[in-house]
Parts: sequence; C-alpha cells; structure tokens
Amino acid sequence: MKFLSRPEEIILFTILKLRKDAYCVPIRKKASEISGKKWSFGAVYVPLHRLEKKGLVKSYFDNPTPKRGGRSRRIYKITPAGLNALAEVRELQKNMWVEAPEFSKE
Amino acid sequence: MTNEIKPPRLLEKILQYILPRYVGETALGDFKEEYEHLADTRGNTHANFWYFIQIIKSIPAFIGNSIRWGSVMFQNYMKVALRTIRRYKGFSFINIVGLAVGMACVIIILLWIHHEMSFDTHHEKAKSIFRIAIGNELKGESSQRKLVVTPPPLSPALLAEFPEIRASTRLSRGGGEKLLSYENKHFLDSCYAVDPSFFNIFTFDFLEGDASTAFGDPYAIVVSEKMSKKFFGNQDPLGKIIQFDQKADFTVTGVIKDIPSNSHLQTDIFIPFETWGKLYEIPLQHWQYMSFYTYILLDPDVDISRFEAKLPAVAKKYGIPEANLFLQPLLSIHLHSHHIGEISPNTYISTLLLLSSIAVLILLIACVNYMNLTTARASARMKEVGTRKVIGAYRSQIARQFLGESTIMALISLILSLFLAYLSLPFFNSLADRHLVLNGQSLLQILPGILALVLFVGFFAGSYPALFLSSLKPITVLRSGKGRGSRKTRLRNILVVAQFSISLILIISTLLVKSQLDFIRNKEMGFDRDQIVVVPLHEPKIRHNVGPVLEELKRSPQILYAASSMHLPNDVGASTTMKWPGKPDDSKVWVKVSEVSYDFTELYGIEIVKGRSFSREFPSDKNGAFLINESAMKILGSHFRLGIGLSHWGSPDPSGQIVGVMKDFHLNSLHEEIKPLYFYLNPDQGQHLSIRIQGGSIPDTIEFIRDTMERFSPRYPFEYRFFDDLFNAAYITEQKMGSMFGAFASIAVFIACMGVFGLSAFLANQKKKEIGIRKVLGASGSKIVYLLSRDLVWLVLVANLIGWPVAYYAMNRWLQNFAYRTHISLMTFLFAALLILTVTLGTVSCQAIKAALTNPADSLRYE
Repeated sequence: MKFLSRPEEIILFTILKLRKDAYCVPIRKKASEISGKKWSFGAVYVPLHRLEKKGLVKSYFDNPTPKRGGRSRRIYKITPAGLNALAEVRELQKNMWVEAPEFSKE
Repeated sequence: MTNEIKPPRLLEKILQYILPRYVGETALGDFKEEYEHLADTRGNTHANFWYFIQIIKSIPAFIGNSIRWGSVMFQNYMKVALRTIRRYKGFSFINIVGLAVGMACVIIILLWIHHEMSFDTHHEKAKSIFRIAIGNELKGESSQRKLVVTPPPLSPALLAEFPEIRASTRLSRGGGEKLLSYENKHFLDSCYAVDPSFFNIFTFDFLEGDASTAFGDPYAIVVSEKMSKKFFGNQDPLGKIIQFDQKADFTVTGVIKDIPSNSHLQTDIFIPFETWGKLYEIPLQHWQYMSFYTYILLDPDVDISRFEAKLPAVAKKYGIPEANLFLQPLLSIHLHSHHIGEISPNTYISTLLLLSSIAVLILLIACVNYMNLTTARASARMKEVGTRKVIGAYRSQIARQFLGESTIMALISLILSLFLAYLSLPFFNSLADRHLVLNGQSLLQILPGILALVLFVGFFAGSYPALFLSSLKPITVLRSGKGRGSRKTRLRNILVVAQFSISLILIISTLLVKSQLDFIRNKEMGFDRDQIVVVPLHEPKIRHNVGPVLEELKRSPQILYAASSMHLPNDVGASTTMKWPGKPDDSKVWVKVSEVSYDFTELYGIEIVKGRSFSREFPSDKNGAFLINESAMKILGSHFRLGIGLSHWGSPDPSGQIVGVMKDFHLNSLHEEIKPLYFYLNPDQGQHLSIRIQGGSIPDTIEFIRDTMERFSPRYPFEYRFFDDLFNAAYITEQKMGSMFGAFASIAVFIACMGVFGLSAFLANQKKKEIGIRKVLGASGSKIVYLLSRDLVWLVLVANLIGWPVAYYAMNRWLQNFAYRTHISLMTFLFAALLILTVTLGTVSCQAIKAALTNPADSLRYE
C-alpha cells in the first residue's frame, strides 16, 4: 500500500475530529493544536489538494457568508477510502510500538 | 464592532490575481477570516503585515504556474499556428510574402536612417564641436542667405576673443584637385588644408604618427591609409617625401585610417593651412574672403545660446558686411545644414521622413492584407474558437492566441525579409548614393528597430483578427456548425480602400515626378547643350594663360568654338555686389557673376538682345567689358544705357562698360528663379574649357583635344565631360528620387494586388454554390465575372476619391520646390486610376474566370 505523508495524515485526522464544518481555517487551527506547531495556509492547502486527488476526502462549497466577504467555504469530508486509510494508519502505529524497548524523552 | 474589518482592497486584489485558480475563491475567504481574527486579537497592523506576507509566500507558486501553463499553451498555439499555415498554403504565402516585402522596405530604410543619423558621431568631442556660419540678411529679399564659409582671419580672432573656445581650426578644400607625386607615381586628388589643432578637435585614428604632433612641421602632410597604400605600397610611409602640385615637397608625418563614409569631412590628404596659404598666395588677413570653414571646440560647460549671442559683436568689430555669425553643432550639420558652400552634399531631413513614411505605408498595406485575409477566413477558425471557449478559454486567451499567431507570421516574414533586404540593398545604394551593408554588425545596430518592427507587425496585423475572432459567441458558432464569417465586410472594405488609396497616391506621385523631370529635360534653358565638350583646367600655368590653348584647339576643322570660363552656364556659383553710376550708395545689390573669354556666348548659343557680344574687333573690350542679362537690365532700370560703366567684384571704380544684353537663361538649376547676372570679359583666365564640336567622328575630335591638352598640361591626366551629362547631373537627386518613388509605388501596388488576389479567391470560394446555381439557371460566364468583380471596382473608385486630392496636395507642395514647373494634368490622375483599375480587374478576373469555368455539378454535388 501507499503510505500517507505525515502532513496528509495529520490533516486527515483533523478532518475526522472536526466532524462537520471542516474547512481550511478550523483545520489549520486544529492541526496547529495537535502538532504544537504553526501551520501556514499553504501547508494546509497542498495536502488537502493531494488528499482530494487520492480520493481520500471530497469537498463541496457551502453558501457564501458575509463574514467571508461573500465568498463560500470549501468543506471537506472524509470518504470511505479515507476512513480505510486512517484505519491503516492506526494499525501501523499500533504495530510499530509492539516489541519496542522502553525509553523516555530527554 | 467587527463589521468593517477587511483586508486592504489593493492587497486583496493582488492576492486574488496571483493565487492558483484551484484554491483562489475559497482561499481568499479563508484569508479574510484569519485576517479578522488577527485584527481582533493582535491589532490591524499585525493583520496587515500578515496578509502582506501571504502575498509574498504565494509568489513562487504563481511564477511556477504561469511558466508551466504558459509554455503548455504556447506549445498548443504554436502547433495550431503552424497547422493553419500549412493547411492554407496560398493565403499563408500571400501573407508571408506581403509582410516580408513590407518589412524589407522598412529594414532598408532603418539601415539608411541609422547611417544618416550617425554622421560625425565618431569624433570623441563631437558634442562640443561647432562650425561657424554666417547669416546674411539681404536687403529687399525676404529669404535669408546663409553661408557656411567664413573669412580666414575669423578663426584666430575668435580664439583670441573668447576664452571659452578651447581650440579652433580653419579648413580649406584647397581650391580643387592637386597633383601629388612620389617618385614616378602621380595622383590627382583634392586635399584639405587645416590648422594643426584640427587633429585635436576632431578624432581620427592615426595608424602611423601622432595626432598632437602631426603638423609640428610646416611642410608636413597627413594621408589616409588608402592614399598611403597607393603611393608607398607596403613601405613605411613615415618620412617619405611627396611633391605637392609641383610647388613644394611635404614629408609624411602621419597616416590616418580612411575616413568613414558617415562623415561630412571627406578627404585623403591633409596639409597645414598656413603653408597652403603661402604657396598659393592666399590673402589670409582678408575679412571679405569667404571661402573657408571655421570649426571651434568649446568648453563642454559653456551655455551655447549665451555664447552665440556674443558672436554678432565680433562680426561687427571686424566688419563682416551685414552679417551675423551663428553656431552649427557638428552633429546637426549633415541633416540640418543646407546653406551656401556646404562642404559635401547633405541629406534633407524631409527626404528622410518622406521615405520612412512611404516604407511604413507599404508595411501598413501588407498588414491590412493579413487582417483582411485572416478575418475573411474566420469561418474556418470559428469552430476552434467555439470549442476553446466551451472548454473554458477566456476571451483574453483567444485574443492572445491570435496575436501570437500573427507574431509568428511576423517572425517567419522577418527571416525572408532580411534575405530580401540583403538582395535589394545594392539597388537602394545606387539610388541613395550610399554604401550600406547588411551584416551582423549593422544588424545589431538596428536590432531594437527590428524587434519593434516584429512586435508592431504582430500586434497591428493581429489586432483586428484577435478582437474579431475572440468576440465570437460559442453558441452561435457551434450551433449551426458554420458561422457567418463575412458579416464584418464593412471594415474590410475600408481597409481595402485605404490600401488602394495609398497605392494610387504613390503612382500619381511617381508619374508627376517623372513628368517634372521630363519638363526639365526639355525646357528651353536659353543655351545649347549638345555637342559641347567640357574640360576642367588643373594646370595653374594655363589657368592664367589660356589663350594659346584656345588658339591651338581652334586649328581643328571639327571644332567650331573653344572658350574658357570661370563657371559653366548652368551653374554660375559666384555672387558679388553690383555698382553702377547713379546708383544710390547705401544699398547693396547682389548679382551673379562669372568671367568668360571671347566666343563664350556664341559657343553656348546665348542670344544677345541688345548691343553685341565680346569681340576681338573692339580692342577696347580688352580693357574691361560687361555683358548683362535682362534681369540685371531691369535692376538698372532707367540708369541702363549701353556703354555705361560697371564695377567688377565690387571694386570702387568702374572696371569697364556694358557692351550688350543677353536674353535671360537659366543660370542655375530650375529650382531657382533666373537671377540678375553679368559676365566680365577675361580672355586669359578660366577654370573650364568649353569646346563646341561639329559632326564628323567625335572620338577623333576627342583624341585631338586630348593630344592638345596633354601637350599644354602634361602632368595632369586628361579629363572631359559632355556638357549635357553635366547638365543632367544637376537633377540627379530628383531623378533618383523619381526612381525610388517608382520602386516603392510598384511594391505597394504589388502587395495590394496580392491582397486583392487572396480576397477574391476567398470570395469566389464562398460564392461557389451561388455561382453553381446561377450557371445552372443559365447565367453567362461574363455575368459571373461581373458578379465577382463588381464590389472591388466600386472600392477602387472610392479609393480614387480619396487618393486624388491627397496626391494633388502633396505633389503641389513638392513642385513648389521648383521655380519652373510642369502643370499637374488631369491625364496623370486618369492614367493612374486606369492603371490601378486594370491591375485589380486583371487580378480579380483570374479568380472570377476560374469560378465561371468550374462545372456547376462539382460545386453543387455535395448535400
């Protein structure tokens, strides 16, 4: 199988956690919270675009709001394929820690 | 509270433009939201700064995208363009050849303009070098007489007077060709006599010797590389002795590189001015002796107009009569100075402008062809445009595609046009009397012009097709499968009319120039031109004692007359003031003057209307005798009587009496009115021999003259010209101008006809079915031809309406240059109209006859 890149993985998780109204601004915020690092918009757009191309998320435009200067939001949803991919990531994570020796962060 | 927090409009616009299309709209929304958030929490400044940073961050992606998509689309456009060119070979051929011919004209003119503008620019201090000229206000004459020749003491006087003058030099053309000898080699060449500072003012490349010390010795001579090769071959030229005009020996102290052709100073030999003056006993202190050029080098920071204002005072102080000195910048001499005594023929800037505008007009005609043929064929491209639009092309993209296509056409034409220009340059050179070359170096010099040319052709020729084709609505184009491409015929017609008007104007102008030249050639000048041989006199000894030569020549039975004179009757160059008894003293009357020997008027067949000509039978003539022309007689008015005394060269006392009056003859070119003139009898002096020969064998007679001349003037090579050749040479500029006009007019008509050919081919093709149906219903071949050519004939007639007045106005202006001119006849206009109509009909009927002959079954078979 093809692995997801780390940013793609994180973005996919944030969309999952946000459940609904997952568009760029909250995704970026959530991703920053999870990773503890600042995400630029570009760093969000590019993985989102790739995820969509891979068919792991799909997007639609909701109604424009005055708050956004009359522009619509692009809302992302995870597709079944996306859920599978996440499941595989979880599996992978679990498998990776099996039989790993104990250590702590310095 | 937050209702008016918005990113600055300008920044938002920029961001909108540079963001990739697939994130554009939503991203702007996202950015705005974040902007508000930041403005709320961290303040406006921070938010603005953040927004700005986003723009910066987007730029690399923007550039990458534009290059990527730009090249993808470019490849596509290129492919489609080449496909179109290949599919419609005929149209492409007409377009490319037309544009190439037009561009070749422009390239040649560009080369020429570059050459004319570069005159004298090779001198390092060119901007600070000025020539002194004299503006002479003539009493009773509204026009100003300006001389570029000055008296010899002017240069040292100015240098002493003004500290702002760094250096100054006099220059003399040395009074005609001189004989130079080295061992047994003799050459006849004209020389420049200049002051030593000449080589410091002007920049000449010294191959041997040094500019600052070249004229340290009074008998030094500087020669050009060409001259040095002629004399010394490969020997070291420095220190060699050249004998100058059998008068003195000069030592070569310098060899300069040959003077480039774009210099108004042209010579191969320089000698020191003072020495020259001594050798020929020139009165170098004489303030009335206007024969010398004065060049000065000013301090670079001097205010030119303030300096110039101080000059008239100097003129007054030294008594330059009624004169006013002014400065001519060196760089403006070639194009802007057209005064009396120019050192070499200068180019009128109006000629430059005229020829450039004709070249541009020809280019426009070619561009119009492109526009017409491209829009006429629009139907062939409509589906493509419709499909592109449906897929999502913007109008601007379609427009750009067609502009690109025309630029590609322009580039292809450019290659062909360079080739054409290269081939036709020798022809242009012979007409313009230049030695232009088209090579890598000259091409590099006009490169900006050529780039501008390609862009201009690309944009101008492509503009209308681009606007028209990009405006098509996909739904109308695609629905019917075939749109109506010929709706925009009106603009096309206007363009065709413009083409024909331009061609017509050029044809009429050519015909009128030719008619004026014929008029000049056949005009009764007042003197004979045929069977007269002219021999220039170089040998100083016989110049001052020409009598024995004339006697010797007259011994041949083939020679009717032989006479000597200062000038030839078609070009009396000298002027002086005339004085006669009873004349009010305060006014100066300028007249033309020449000195002639006995038999001169008889030789040239100049009619005497009162009194008699100079005659040996009247011994008193030897003591001073005058012949005046009718115009001069009019000036004398009531003072005129045969036998009154006149003064020669403005001398205070009468130098002789008037013996006769000549009928007015044209003593200068026909550009000028006949001026008052007097001839003074001087049987022993002259610069030209005129010999009237009669029948018999002309070569034998010439041989006899040669033998005689070689006996009297053995050192100088024998030269002769026929007077009628010399006479025609005075109108050589007009003749060449006429040929150039003719060439350009033919090119214009040729290109316009190519366009008409293409257009009619297209129309015939479009009306294929109509013609087929008409033929089936019984229309005759001539009806079909009429049907196809009717519209174009109308256009040609309308073009006449526009072309005639313009041509009339322009040529009327041109003819004002001549004091004596042909009348503008209606026949010329009718002939031009007929010519252009015939050519057009010929072109159209090719197509029409082809269409008329096709079997209707072929054109109607489909459907």
